[in-house]
Amino acid sequence: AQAQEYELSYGHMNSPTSVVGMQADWLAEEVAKNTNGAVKIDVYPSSQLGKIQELAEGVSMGSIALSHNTAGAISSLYEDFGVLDTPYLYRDYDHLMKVVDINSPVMADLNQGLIDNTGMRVLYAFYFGTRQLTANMAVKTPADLSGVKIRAIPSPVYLTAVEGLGAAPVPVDWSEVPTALATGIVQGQENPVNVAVDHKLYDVQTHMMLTGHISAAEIVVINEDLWQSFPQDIKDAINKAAETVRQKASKMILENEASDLQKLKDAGMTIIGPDDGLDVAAFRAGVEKLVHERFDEKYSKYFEEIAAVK
Amino acid sequence: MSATLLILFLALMIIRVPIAVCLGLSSAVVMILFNLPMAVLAQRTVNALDSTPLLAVPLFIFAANLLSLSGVTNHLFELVRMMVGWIRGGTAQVSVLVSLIFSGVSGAALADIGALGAVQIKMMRKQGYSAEFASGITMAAATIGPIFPPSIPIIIFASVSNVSAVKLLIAGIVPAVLITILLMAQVAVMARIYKLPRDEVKFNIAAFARKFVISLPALAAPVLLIGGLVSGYFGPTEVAGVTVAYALLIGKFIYGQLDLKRVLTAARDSVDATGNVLFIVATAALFAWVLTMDRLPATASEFLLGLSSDPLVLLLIVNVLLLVVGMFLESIAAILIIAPIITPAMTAAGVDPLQLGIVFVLNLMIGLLTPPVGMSLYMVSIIAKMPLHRVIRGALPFLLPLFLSLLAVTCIPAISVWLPNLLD
Amino acid sequence: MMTALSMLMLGLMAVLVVGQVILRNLFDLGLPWADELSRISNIALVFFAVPALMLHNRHIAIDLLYSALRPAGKAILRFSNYALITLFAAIFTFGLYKFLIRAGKFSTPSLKLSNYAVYAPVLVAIVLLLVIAIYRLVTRTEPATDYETEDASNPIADAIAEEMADHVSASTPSGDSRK
Ligand code: NA
Ligand code: NA
Repeated sequence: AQAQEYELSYGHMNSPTSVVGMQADWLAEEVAKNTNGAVKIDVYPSSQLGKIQELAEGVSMGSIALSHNTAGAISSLYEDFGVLDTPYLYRDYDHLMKVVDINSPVMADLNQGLIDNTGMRVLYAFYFGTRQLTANMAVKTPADLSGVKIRAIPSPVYLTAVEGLGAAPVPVDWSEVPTALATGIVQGQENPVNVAVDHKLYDVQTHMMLTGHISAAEIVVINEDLWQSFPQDIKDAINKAAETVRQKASKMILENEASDLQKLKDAGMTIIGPDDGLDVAAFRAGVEKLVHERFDEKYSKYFEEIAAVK
Repeated sequence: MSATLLILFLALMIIRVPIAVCLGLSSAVVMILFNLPMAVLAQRTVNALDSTPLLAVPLFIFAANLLSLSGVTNHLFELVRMMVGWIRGGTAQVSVLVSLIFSGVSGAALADIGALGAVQIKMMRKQGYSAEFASGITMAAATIGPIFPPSIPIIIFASVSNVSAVKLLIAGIVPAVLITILLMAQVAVMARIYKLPRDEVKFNIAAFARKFVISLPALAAPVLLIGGLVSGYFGPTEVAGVTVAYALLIGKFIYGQLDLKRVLTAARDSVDATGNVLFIVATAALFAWVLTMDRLPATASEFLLGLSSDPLVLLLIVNVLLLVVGMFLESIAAILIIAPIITPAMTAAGVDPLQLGIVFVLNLMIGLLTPPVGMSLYMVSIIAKMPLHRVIRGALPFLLPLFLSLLAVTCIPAISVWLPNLLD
Repeated sequence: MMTALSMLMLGLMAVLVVGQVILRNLFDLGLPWADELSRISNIALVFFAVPALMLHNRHIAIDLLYSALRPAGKAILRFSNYALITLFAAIFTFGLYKFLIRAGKFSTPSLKLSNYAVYAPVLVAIVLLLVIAIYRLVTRTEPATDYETEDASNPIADAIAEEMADHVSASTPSGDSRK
């Protein structure tokens, strides 16, 4: 085996036992394997190296080699990136996977912009899940949400989604969300199904509505100066590892979505889908109206490119 | 790297460099020596303060200052004096009981000492108590404040450990009462041994009833705050802001004591205390970052938790660890550094996170009374104008009831978890 | 001056936190920007307070060794204290510079404030800290801490003691070292 030449830090905010957290460890293993131990990746989970935006800034400055984040969070550093978290953007899972492939034309564009503006590049992006609404009441139409307080991430795309669904978006720090749901500060929240399972939201929420308002990719970024310092064979080895992990993590999250939904049912939650009278078309219309008002000017060029990906 | 960092930190501390600078400078020097990115120095310290639970610090201190300036604490004293002042060591017992009542609106031990300490110590010394005894009981009673809800350290522990903040706050109620009882028992014993004085106050039912009515807005505050918290009108951090509003309202319209000048005095004192404490928290975050880069916290907790798999033994190990940590680190900083690492392993071993939270916070509150870094010691040394070594001597006897409480909370989970589990 | 700014930040924070509780409960309204602004005001509150505390020698430090020394020893320790604080402030300023040249243009999620704006109070505070530390270093002066001054007292305790004078014959408060 080769001697160790590079030691890279990978910081993230997820628990080491979540799929998102585990895929960082998988990357470390794959990279070590593909480079015969020349590149060692140390993973620091659970925000040990800093909070959401701090991690992204850290990769940009080079104080952290690698991290992952939502496209919405990365948009604080490079606004165009927010387009990838636009509500009701992707036709299906395959469409999302093709759009966020680093070699797709739209991702190539975004990546170049990211490199130029922040000094970091996308290494790979994987499927992070589809966000669903939970509440302590049955919701079938946007009218049911009128005046209902739903916890929203205070970032433009997420606020737009919650407002478009018809609810009143209320900011609650993630650490306080289960408590806020239990005591009734907010009546609901929206997240991918795995988050509802991992954080036992079934203890504090009675219903899940399959609104599927945002399908999202988690973006893994690496510092650009560091990347360019690698010889070609190392770059190739890392890229190969990245593709392996991207496929493995995406598939696992997709497969878990079905079983996680069952877990929520078993824990006593009522799941409301289109067959149970959920008016997804009405929710979609409400959200898309706001999306057009707020984001067309900024993102229409990307919307066309994304729609064109087959 | 960690060894260099710790040695530098201790060396700077001994030669009287401000604690915040000790943490920041030792980190900065290690970062230079080991070629770590200097931008993190600014980024980590600033981001440590960009935190919702930390807003509770300035707001609770402000609320406590407003309450004492509006005469609320004064009325509470008078009320409790009539109840227990006449027994031997009465004024000391009054201090403990007033601390318990005040803990229902106060989120921090230092806020308790700030709001009550000066008056308590003055009253006791006037009646012939030794300065050491007076400051000791004041510091010990102040540990009740952050155990009984609301509480800054409990909110912060809950936020970094993914435990329900409301449940953990409720979990503190029984332990706080237990500490009160043990402290009062200790005072009773010491009162006999040292022939402590009685207060000349006489119990008079009419005067007592009058005082009770006057004190009602203050006595009702804990009920309103805990009620509002449990019914979802406000969150665990927002309760601090609500307390400020409540203090302003009753201070202005019921007690009529608050004018602009007093509000400004309260605000001035609050930003002083907040700046002091949170600057330490900020540089401690950088210190923790350097330790993390060296993987020390993970290695150390793996080692400690690998010593046993029995929940009780693990809790005892955590106690020892935290008592040592509590000697050297400011309490919020200690929670932010250690809680996220220890909690997952402890809960995996079968320790109830609610019990762990109370054990954790109580340890660090005892740490406020242990040298060399003991914020309560410094605060009392300032208030009572006593040199540190005398304040430390005063604290010693009261460590006994506090350790007994800690032992009880460690060995009997029900003390912490029984009440919050009734909520389900 | 810096203390006044800190107090302003405290007032702003209290209004934002209480305002959110009121709006949410009475009008079903959430203010994402207020949440972010209250956290930013906390950063400013703390950093504005830092140089003011340094100017008045009120940062918490362990003085067990210091208080045991003779005047000459005390003077040496004081000099090294301010030299070290100067060093710290200088390195911090350098760290801020390194951070802002790379990450200054990035913005906050909700208010879209740039890091230049969020970190401006920090920069002002740390540069002031540097100036104060150098001033102490050069002039070799230092205000006494609270318990060293005979007539020092706590304004809040004084106010309470005044009211309790009827009930408890507390000693009358003397001057206030903080003004
Ligand atoms: Na309390
Ligand atoms: Na201590």
